[in-house]
Amino acid sequence: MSAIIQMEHITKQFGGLKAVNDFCGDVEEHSIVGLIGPNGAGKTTLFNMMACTFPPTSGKVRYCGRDITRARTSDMAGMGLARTFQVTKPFGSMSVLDNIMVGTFLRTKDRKAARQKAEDIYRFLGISCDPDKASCNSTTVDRKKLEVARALATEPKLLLLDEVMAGCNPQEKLELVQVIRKIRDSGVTIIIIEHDIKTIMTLCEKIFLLHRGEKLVEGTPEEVANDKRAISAYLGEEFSNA
Amino acid sequence: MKENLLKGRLFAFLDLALLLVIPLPMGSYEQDILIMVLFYAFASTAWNIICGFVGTLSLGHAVYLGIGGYISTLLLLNLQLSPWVGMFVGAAITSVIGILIGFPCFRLKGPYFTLASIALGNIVLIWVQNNEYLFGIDIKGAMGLLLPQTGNQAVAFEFAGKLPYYYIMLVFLLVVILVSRLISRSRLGYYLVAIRSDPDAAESLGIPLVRYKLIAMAISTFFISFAGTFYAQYYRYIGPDRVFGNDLSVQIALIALIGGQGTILGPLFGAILLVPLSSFLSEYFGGTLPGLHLFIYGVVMMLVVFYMPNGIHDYVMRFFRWAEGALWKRLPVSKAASGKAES
Repeated sequence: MSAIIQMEHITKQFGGLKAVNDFCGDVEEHSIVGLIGPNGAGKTTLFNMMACTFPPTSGKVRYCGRDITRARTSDMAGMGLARTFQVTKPFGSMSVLDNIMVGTFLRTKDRKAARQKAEDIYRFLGISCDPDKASCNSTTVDRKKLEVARALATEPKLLLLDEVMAGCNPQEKLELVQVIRKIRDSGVTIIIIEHDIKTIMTLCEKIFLLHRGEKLVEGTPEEVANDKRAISAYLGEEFSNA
Repeated sequence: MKENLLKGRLFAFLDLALLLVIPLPMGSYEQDILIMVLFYAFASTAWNIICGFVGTLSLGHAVYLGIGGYISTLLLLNLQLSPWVGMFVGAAITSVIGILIGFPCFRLKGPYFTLASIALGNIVLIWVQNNEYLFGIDIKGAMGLLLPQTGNQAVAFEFAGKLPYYYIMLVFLLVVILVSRLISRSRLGYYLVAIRSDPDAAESLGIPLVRYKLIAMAISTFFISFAGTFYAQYYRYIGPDRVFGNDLSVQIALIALIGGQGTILGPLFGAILLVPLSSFLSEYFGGTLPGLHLFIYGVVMMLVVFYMPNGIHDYVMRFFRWAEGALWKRLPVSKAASGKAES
């Protein structure tokens, strides 16, 4: 398998703060990769550079072999890279289905086709609220799912999920894990930021642990769980036997 | 389903018929108010295509109206070109100017865009007031341009009575409402509302923000320029302080905001409420206490903004649905339709 996204010595400096420092890492196609670390470790900053929200201060991002370091944000969805936001950003005045249609319109101009595809995605993700209801009134889990649905609507090859399970109860988390697996099985590579270690350990094939902007550990869930540095920086003792 | 379709058609037909006959029994003064209602509804609907759907508040949109009016009028005065043709030339040029101005301005966010639009209005106003010539063409500076009065000439967009102007503006308005309805149901419309709701999320879904804003700007300025041509033809005069001044720009924006920003019929409802209100108030209160009519006008506006921050659109629509439903039940057609549905 080949790498879908490669990060080469990425550094992002915000004034005097190095949010991400010399990060290197590859993500293989069709895998689920986790990005973990304490608050302020630079996880979302890394996402923003992958999604070309802003360019790194130095270093290179390659996506499908192409250098996208300075590509435009709006070009990325067309190239097959979609993301969700940590703080959900529904188009409040639009209905749930219309929100998804904004995504499906990327690949089709036809309103009927866009609507049909949006309905499929709505069902695929098992969103429970009324599709014609204004999106601003939905529950946390539905908002998170809507965020995923909209990103999925652009037919991505690589999906960046930023804390989609935050604020969901265990039952809802389980449901989302299944959804994410289903998405991967349909051929999408997934990078996921998550604080729930149990979930991430069961879901991911590879994990990057970030600490103060630097990559502390990279490896399979077992390798990370048993790594002394990972335990002392983030995981704590309870996962050392996992 | 079929009953609803029939009902919708019937009431659309009735509404249209009402719009067609309403000026017939009226005097010239009332007809003038009706024409102004349509004029402002048209300009506000055009304004709404960029400022309503995308949510950028422009308080300088009269500039584009004025440019369209000046171009068609100058073509008429200097080249004897009929305004029917000139208005399309004006619209095309205005649309290009709109894109050129939009290109740098759309990078400004929130209040800065609004400030830039106010500045634009003032720059154009002061420039035209103080310059007699533009590229060697006589634009008469602050005096403005007087159009020849030759009587009833349909080819030259000139009529003796007010009625033809009413029907012309009605057609203009129906076209622009149709266009904004088409936009709102197309990909363009979805993208514009997405940009208004959350630009970051919109961008991440592959929407190039500036490009789509410019498309909307081009459409909006294209249409609003027709209002300028109409203004010049109707009043037989076009002058900088009338069409480039802040008053007109603010009025256009206010009508759309009170009516319902981003809705299709909101600007029309806003115009129906505000234009006659301001005329009647100045007629009845203008003479009693200086400024009283403006005071009442301001109070009405404050009440609307306070109690209906999203405009009167939703309330008016609800009322119409209720009224149509009530009327429908009393009509013999409805019984026939529902009878058919049952059998």
